[in-house]
Amino acid sequence: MKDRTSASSKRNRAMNLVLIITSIIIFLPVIVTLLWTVTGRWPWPSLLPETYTTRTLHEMFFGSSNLWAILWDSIYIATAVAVLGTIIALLTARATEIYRIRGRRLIGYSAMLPLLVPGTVFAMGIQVILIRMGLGDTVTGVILVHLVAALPYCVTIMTDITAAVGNSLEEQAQVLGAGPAGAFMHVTLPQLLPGILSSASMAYIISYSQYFTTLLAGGGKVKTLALVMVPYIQSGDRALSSIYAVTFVGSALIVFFIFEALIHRIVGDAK
Amino acid sequence: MIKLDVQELTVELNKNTILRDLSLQVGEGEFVSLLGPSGCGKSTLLKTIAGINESASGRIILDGELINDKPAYKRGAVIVFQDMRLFPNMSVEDNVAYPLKIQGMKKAERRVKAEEYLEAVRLEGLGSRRISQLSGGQQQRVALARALAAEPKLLLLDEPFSSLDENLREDMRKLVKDLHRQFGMTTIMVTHDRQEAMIMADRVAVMFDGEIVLTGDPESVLSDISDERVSEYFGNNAFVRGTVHDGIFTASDGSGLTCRLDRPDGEYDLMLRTDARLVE
Amino acid sequence: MNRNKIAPILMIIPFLLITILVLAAIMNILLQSFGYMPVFGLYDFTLKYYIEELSRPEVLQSIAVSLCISVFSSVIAAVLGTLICAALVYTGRTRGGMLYTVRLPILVPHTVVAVFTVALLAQTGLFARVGYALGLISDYTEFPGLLYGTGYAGVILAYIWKEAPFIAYFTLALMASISGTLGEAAENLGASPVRSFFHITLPMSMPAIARGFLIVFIFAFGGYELPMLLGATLPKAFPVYTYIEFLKPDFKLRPYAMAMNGITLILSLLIALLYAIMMSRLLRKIGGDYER
Repeated sequence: MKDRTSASSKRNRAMNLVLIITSIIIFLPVIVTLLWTVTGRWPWPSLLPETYTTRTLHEMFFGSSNLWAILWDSIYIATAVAVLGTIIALLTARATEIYRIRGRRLIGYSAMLPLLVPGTVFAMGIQVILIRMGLGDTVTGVILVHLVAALPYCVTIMTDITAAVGNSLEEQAQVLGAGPAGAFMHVTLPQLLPGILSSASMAYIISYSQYFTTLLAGGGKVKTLALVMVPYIQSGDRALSSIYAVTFVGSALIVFFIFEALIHRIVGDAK
Repeated sequence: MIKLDVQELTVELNKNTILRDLSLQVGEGEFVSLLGPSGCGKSTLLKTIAGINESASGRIILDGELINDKPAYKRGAVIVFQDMRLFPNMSVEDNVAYPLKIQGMKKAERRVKAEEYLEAVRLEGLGSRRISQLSGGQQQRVALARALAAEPKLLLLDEPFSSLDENLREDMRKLVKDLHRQFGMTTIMVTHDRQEAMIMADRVAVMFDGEIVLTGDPESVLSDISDERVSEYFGNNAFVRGTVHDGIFTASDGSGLTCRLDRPDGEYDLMLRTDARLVE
Repeated sequence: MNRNKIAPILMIIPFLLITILVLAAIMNILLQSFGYMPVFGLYDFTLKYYIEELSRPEVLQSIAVSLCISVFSSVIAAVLGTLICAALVYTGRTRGGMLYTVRLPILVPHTVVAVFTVALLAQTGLFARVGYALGLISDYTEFPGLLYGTGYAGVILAYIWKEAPFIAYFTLALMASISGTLGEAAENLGASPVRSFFHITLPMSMPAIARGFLIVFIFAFGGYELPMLLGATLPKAFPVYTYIEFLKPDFKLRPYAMAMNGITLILSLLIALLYAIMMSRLLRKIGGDYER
């Protein structure tokens, strides 16, 4: 903007510097890891790789590895968690915010409980229970455990938006002759959609990122990306672990930006 | 003597021109009402004078000094915001004393001063209360006291009474008038309430679409019909709320206005045409 | 009318089932940690396992390591996160490209953060190479061993990389709205932007910062991936140590592992309680009406 006052531009310069440094620190490891995926040789102490190759990449995606199957399983589990988590959160939010069910405070505290119990503790506690339920080492068991991790965020997002949207328009639609289900579907749901999408994207990312809970609930039989990349990190194979890391973040980002684009479209339409 | 001189001010926000080539002069100690429909740029003008919004072009001169490039906190043009913006993390007294603290005044001295300002707005003894313990009207007075404590060169009131109900508004108008007399502070008050503008101000400036279309003393502004938008805005008529009983209309604003009205009993808005205009 | 009473109860059932699952896991841990395992014919109810665990120096050392990791990482993340948040607010970049940049680390899972950390901080990582190029070190062995060392510096830095942006993002909405109203009012009354930030905007943003801090703290305290991948062999971070004990096949040893989980659980809940007490004080101090 023009005519920026001298004091505010000096302050903005300092603040801009903070943001520039932040961006560098955030992107630097991403760039180095991207480089590693196509690195042939990168001996000490060169600043850039000596030789480049796409051989490892090629082998990973089109060779004998079952990367595609693992990717598919990871996406399947995360999608299930996103859908279930958001539906459960939506129902919970409507019960507390619209129907004003009794014990709202208690429900609110219980929703935050998984944030207060470390994931490692929960996973070691739930393992035996899942086995006894016949869900040990199954995809269903993994989805259940991921749901627990995702639900606090889903419930927070859905409660906020349900409280903000309220049900006055829905009541209006009912007065005009719409059935309760129709009123919800046609009037409230479109308004909740941005919240639904951001809850789903949050749950998706959380599920996608789970390592320890997947390890315990899946017993090593349910394989997700987060799980299979760990041995490569442990073995110190930087090229392979970098390829996994990039695949991982890349596939998560694609889903994230699809959700973001949808939200923007809806919010944009609403205006 | 001219206190504030705004010359050909243009302000753009998000690529929309909010104010265009606006000029306004306010004399030392004057009370000016800025009147206009909502969305015409009144609040933007106040914020630009105060240095919160930036101007695209034009000059703002306060006390003979060009202040365009001065940051907000050095300008001495203090706004009483419509939403009051009291600091909830401070007591009433600390809110009022905040500008004094910024100026580096000692704590004991601050307390005495703050109590004086609270007395001026008739809130003596409430200094230790929390903001949330006050009523809307009381909060508005704290906001006023806090602005006065900053000893502004220019006091800017942004629809200060719009959140209050009618009888409180009446009290506040009187209080602000009294304070203006007592402290003699050059004041610009934004309002969309014509009556309020007329009653309170030495001079009225009427704004439309980012421009000042008319200025003058209350009487002359009302009778000026040279600008079509103004006369349309004033509507050449006024409404008086009141009740009809036995065919007699009695205004409920206490003005004593009565007339015959052949209508069933109930509440009515009486419309007065230009020729029968009633100005307090 | 009847429908209106039954509907919400039906709606809350899925949530209750999940909550029961969480409670069941907690109960299971507590019962086993007291030595109550009917499946194996153990019907004890004793504090013996807790007492034994807490009298082992390795355990105490391990708890200390984990507390250190979470204290250092979350305090630094809170400070840096607040700074980043302030920078976003004061430069008006509360949406768009810069915000996506800040959100990126939130989306990156801890396993990948480990890969990133190795790429930068290993003795043959980028920073060591830059140090060599600048003539600061003459061999990679001279680069400080941030990874796999007992100082857990690499783990702490890795957490900060991920959690500082989290706190910035978590605080952004509140700080932006405070700064745009009350912060603006303070500047209008004569406070410089720096004073307005420290007198008004920062104290009023504390609820969000504190809440973000709690989440990050408990996460780092109970986190497994980063200390497992980047930490020292000894002393181990407490969750890593606990899992090793948990994996021992002898079921008679299970209560020991569960007592360790119980300790983590109790410490986490204590921290949450401390937070709740401080929060209610804080909210009283800054006026409850701004509670969110």
